[in-house]
Amino acid sequence: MVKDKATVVVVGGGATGVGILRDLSMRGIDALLIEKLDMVNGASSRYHGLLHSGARYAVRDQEAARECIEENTILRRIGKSCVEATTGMFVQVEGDDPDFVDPWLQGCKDSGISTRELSKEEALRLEPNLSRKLKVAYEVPDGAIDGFRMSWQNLQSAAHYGGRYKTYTEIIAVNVENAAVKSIKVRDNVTKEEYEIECEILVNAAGPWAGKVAELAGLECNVSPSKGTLIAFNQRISNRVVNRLRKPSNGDIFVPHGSITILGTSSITVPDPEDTTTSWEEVEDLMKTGEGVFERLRDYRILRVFAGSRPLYVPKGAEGGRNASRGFVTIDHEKEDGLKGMMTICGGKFTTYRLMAEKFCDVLAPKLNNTAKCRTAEENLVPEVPEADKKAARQYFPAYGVNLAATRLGVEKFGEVVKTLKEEPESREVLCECENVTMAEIKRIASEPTSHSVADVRRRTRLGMGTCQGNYCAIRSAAVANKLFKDKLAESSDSLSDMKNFLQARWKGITPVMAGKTLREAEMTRGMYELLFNVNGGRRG
Amino acid sequence: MELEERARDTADNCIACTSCIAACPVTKANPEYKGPKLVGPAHSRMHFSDPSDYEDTLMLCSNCKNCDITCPNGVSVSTLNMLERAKYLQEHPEAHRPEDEMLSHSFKMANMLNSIPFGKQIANLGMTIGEATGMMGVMGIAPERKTPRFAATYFRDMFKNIKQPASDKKVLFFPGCYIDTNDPEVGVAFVQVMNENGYEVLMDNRFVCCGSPLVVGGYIDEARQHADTNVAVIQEYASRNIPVIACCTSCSLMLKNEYTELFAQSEMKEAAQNVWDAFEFLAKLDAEGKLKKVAANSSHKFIYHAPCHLRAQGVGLPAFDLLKSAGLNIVNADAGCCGMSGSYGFHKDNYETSMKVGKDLFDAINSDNYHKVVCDCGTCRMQIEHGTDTKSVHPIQILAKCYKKS
Amino acid sequence: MSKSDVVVIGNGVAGLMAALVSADQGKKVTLLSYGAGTFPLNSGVIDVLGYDDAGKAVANPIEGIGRTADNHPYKKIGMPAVQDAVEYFKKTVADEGFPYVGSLKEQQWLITSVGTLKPTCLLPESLQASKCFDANEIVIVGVKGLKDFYVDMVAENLAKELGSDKKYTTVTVDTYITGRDLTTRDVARWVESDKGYGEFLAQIKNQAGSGKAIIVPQILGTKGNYVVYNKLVKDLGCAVVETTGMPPSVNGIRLRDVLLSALKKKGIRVIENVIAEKAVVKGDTVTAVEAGGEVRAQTYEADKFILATGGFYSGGITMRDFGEYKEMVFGLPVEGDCVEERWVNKQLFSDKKQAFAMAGVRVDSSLRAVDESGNVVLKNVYVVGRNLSGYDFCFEHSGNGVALTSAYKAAKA
Repeated sequence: MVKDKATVVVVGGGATGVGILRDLSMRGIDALLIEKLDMVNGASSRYHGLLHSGARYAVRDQEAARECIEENTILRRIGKSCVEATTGMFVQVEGDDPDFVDPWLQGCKDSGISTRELSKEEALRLEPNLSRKLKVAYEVPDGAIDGFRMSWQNLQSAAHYGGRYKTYTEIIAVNVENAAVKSIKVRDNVTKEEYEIECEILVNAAGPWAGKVAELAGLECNVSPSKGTLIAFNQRISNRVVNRLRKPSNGDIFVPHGSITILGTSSITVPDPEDTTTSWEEVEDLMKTGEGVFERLRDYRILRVFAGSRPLYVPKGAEGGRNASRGFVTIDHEKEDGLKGMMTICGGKFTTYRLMAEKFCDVLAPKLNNTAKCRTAEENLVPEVPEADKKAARQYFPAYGVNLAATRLGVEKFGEVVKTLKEEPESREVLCECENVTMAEIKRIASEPTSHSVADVRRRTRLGMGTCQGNYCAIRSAAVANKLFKDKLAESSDSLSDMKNFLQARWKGITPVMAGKTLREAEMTRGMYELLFNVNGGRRG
Repeated sequence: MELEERARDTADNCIACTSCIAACPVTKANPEYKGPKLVGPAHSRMHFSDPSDYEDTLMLCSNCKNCDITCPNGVSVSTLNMLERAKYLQEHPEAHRPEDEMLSHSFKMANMLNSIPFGKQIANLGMTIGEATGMMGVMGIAPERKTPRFAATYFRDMFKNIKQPASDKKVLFFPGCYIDTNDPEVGVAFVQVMNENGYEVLMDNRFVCCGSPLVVGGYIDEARQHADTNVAVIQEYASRNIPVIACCTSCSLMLKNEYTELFAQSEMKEAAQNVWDAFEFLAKLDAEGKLKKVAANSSHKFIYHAPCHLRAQGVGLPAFDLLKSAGLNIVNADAGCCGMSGSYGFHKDNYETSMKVGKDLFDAINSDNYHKVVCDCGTCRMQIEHGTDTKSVHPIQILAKCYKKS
Repeated sequence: MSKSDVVVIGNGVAGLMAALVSADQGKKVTLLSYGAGTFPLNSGVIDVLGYDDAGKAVANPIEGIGRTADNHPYKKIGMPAVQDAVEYFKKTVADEGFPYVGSLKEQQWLITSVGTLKPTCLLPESLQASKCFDANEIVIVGVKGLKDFYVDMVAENLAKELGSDKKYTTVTVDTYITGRDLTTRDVARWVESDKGYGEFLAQIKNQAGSGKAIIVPQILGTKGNYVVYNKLVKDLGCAVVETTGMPPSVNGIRLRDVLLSALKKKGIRVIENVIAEKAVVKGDTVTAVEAGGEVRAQTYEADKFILATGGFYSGGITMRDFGEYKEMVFGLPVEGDCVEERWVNKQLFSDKKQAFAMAGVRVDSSLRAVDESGNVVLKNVYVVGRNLSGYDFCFEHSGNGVALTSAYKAAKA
């Protein structure tokens, strides 16, 4: 049954997909994005969140380096509330190859990336946790970028121009008539309903799943999912991005985000993009390299480990893994395979998502006789919350965190949340004390059509993502937040299961690092939920 | 040189177990205060990058250090509160209360008055008039309180006239502002006790206020200057093997622990090795069998209040143990914080909280007919005399009296 | 510092009990304390053995102990010491005016703050759930502004435990306190004040009646003395039951205060805020521990040492990296199954014990640490509580039971 219709359907709610949706919408093309789960659940959130200056590619791939620095500059401008303009450091410690420095400096210069040499004293003053074995340090314009927020703001901007999006909507078939895509069949993963969406052009932006989507149309697209494992630490180990100044390798990037630091990344080719398991060996590998830069790394508390799959495109006969190109490809299946109305975009990296969308849409738009120019670099993603509004809001917030809430929510939703806080004092209850998330904000996000579970809300509010790792908010979300989703995504049937599921989701990321200070937290979680609450129930057996 | 281990990094150890909230006397007394874990440690994590957005109740912490004492994970909670408060006030100078300047800098006033003939007497008269006319309240000082009067002669001047037997064994006295300018008899008693034990007491007029009132008022840079000055003096005496001793437990805590926690400098950590609380030092002499035997023959019954800033030092209750083993009839009140916390209770806004916090202690003292309250801290004693009808005394004064009698 | 007969290191349930029992042997005791133990997280009840190895509820703790594995601490402590320890605990708290109910022969139940039942051995009368088993109507009292006690959730889960043939009613009272979100301790202080009690009673009185049971969060006073509880039962004329609570746990702190009061009466010296850093060892005997803050350590000499510093949570045992165990004071041998496949169960709330929770110091039946060949390592150091290996206190619900009974045995040795 045909239930919906769009000129272009974009498959995949990662950075690439949302970038394309925004670009198409701003060109005036009717577009609909579908995502099989919640937005940004794949590689666009499961990475270190580095806004590359390009310096990392300065030696090996200067084209990528140049693209990075240009896009870096644009994103700082259009996405102010998603970017932490931290700057970055490239450092060498004793034992690193000093001969790598000159070619790297030359590469940065040739690519237009500014570098500034820092004396050892200055570097240690700026970043006191750095190893005392530091030899050289350079400052580059790296930054940190919040993948969730950037993607959601792209969607918001797209919606402003008429773009539409649906989550929990999975493509299950491609209907082809006369060698042209006519429609697609999708399944609503909440209601399990299946229906058709008519379209003129189908865009496969499914990242590491792109091969699987291509298969639905009987095509081959050689994507090699490359798993990257990352470690999230409980605090900001540094205030700047810190890179190891050497040939890019595992575990040599530290990125500070809000209150945490992410260390990444490994690169392991895996057959299944869903494989996000992590072994002790992978963790040890990252830690061993990481403690070269921060000697006391093992004394810092790890919050969790997570992994994501990079969508590396491997042309036939080429090499995968770390040496596969980080560039992207646009495949016009009409040209390549004789199937009209289907295009695939694959590969690339988060920092250049906008540029990728621009280049891709430059190929797509003419097929629809659209000659509009790309405008995505000209306009801010979302309007910023004015300082005056934030100041006025402070009196209704039960705790600090106004700025954080403002950047998370954006003008419109922030205004609504403040209004709720003002009018309903009971909504001021702070459900998540680590990240200062109020009941009012939880309710607001839960009311979005894309919110079907506490997990969906968690990703957008940071509920339960902070230092207590859900110990205090699992019970609160089970008792309060979960009630907001009756008849929606059925995660479980009762409050005890809700609590357990909430904590189990965190547990997955904790088990590979159950050592050091993380053990302390785990004992506390069990002490609270197994002893104080006996969540497994009383008279068992 | 900056230490690699810094108090601010201990926020990483906080797993939000809530022990500090259970132990915090201010949280108990004031339903506005969010509680320690949600202030310093939380801020230290959240606001590395954004110093503009602050938890207002950060100002309500009294720096009594019960959170540090109770924390099972070694988080320097109160120091994190103070560092964050300083950051906040640097960002928002308008948040300073009008009395902050005066309460944090009383040493300035005290020094100035000492240079004017009859300055102290005039100031004391001024305070009497101020209290009678309600001026104190206008200035932000709790009008219920009796402001401490300046001594007619400061300890630094009294000291010059104390005749001590010369000795090879010397200690340097850190009098601290309160003993120096308000309660010099404690200093005199200290000199007597040390002389009895064969020590000669030295003074060094380069010492300045330990900086504790500056820290709680948010004047962190000034406190750093005081720390550097004092640490240099302590180091100089350390090189001559002369220990530095304080009779005020807040001063000794500052010199021993808080400098290092706040400023993370290796020389502060080194200097701390040479600083002792008076009874900590006497207990050491006792353990080594070097303390002159003492017997307390009083028929009176005493009650001991352990200052929080002594409990935080991790040296037990040496004054209580020593007086008890000397035969004094003394019980440990064991009733928590007195609520004064240095200058905290002097702020008009904090008065109610301060008195609520002290209630358990007042009740304990009033529960029996105690002759005197024994306590190592000057401001605790002020609070005790304000909240009860019982007089108080520093344990060194009792010890000095015992020696004198024998 | 004059020499003690016994130095106890640690001030959780195990440490405080070890100090009390030692003092009762006529010993001069010094207790080195750091932090608040687990009391603020602890429900303050004595779980001896709630569930067996299969996760099945244990009806009779004595029989359950008999069925534990040979390397379980209870097997090393032995039944006579377990029984004596329970009696000792009951007498101690009763003498302090806070008697506990329960025995080793019959499991008791309490209601958790999410509405499940939890087995335990000894508990304050105010927490005893059996009082409401026969009630026709259960009235669940919430408090406005008190987080983490959700009356609807309590009703939902309690109905599953007690049966849906009872009537479940909920009511929410107002403390009229404004400011931050409330904790149970804030509310307990309100209820124990004269004014607060009056306001509280007025709001729930009309809910009381025969055949009813009133369920409240842990708010009936901050002190372990039943004053508020007894008054309320009298004023309401029906059963009243307190639940467990989110940290800070009121009843955990009640128990701590009661035990500390007993300590004080016995003249036990408590040195606060000191970390025991290392031991002075002569051959196979420890003569002293050095303990202190950051500035300097003091030497605490004794004939006997009882280690009650806890496990991973309390930092008595650490594992900086996989397999790198360390017992922090004496460097005693720690055993554990630190193998990737077994160290952590994939499920947090698992149907089997977690290996990491079982790691601890290997001891013999005298509770002294032994090396791999079974030889005693330090002959005057005894190990108690969560320092011990071989049990998962969360899975079994046995934490305070092992703490209490091992402390008793070690102190008597």
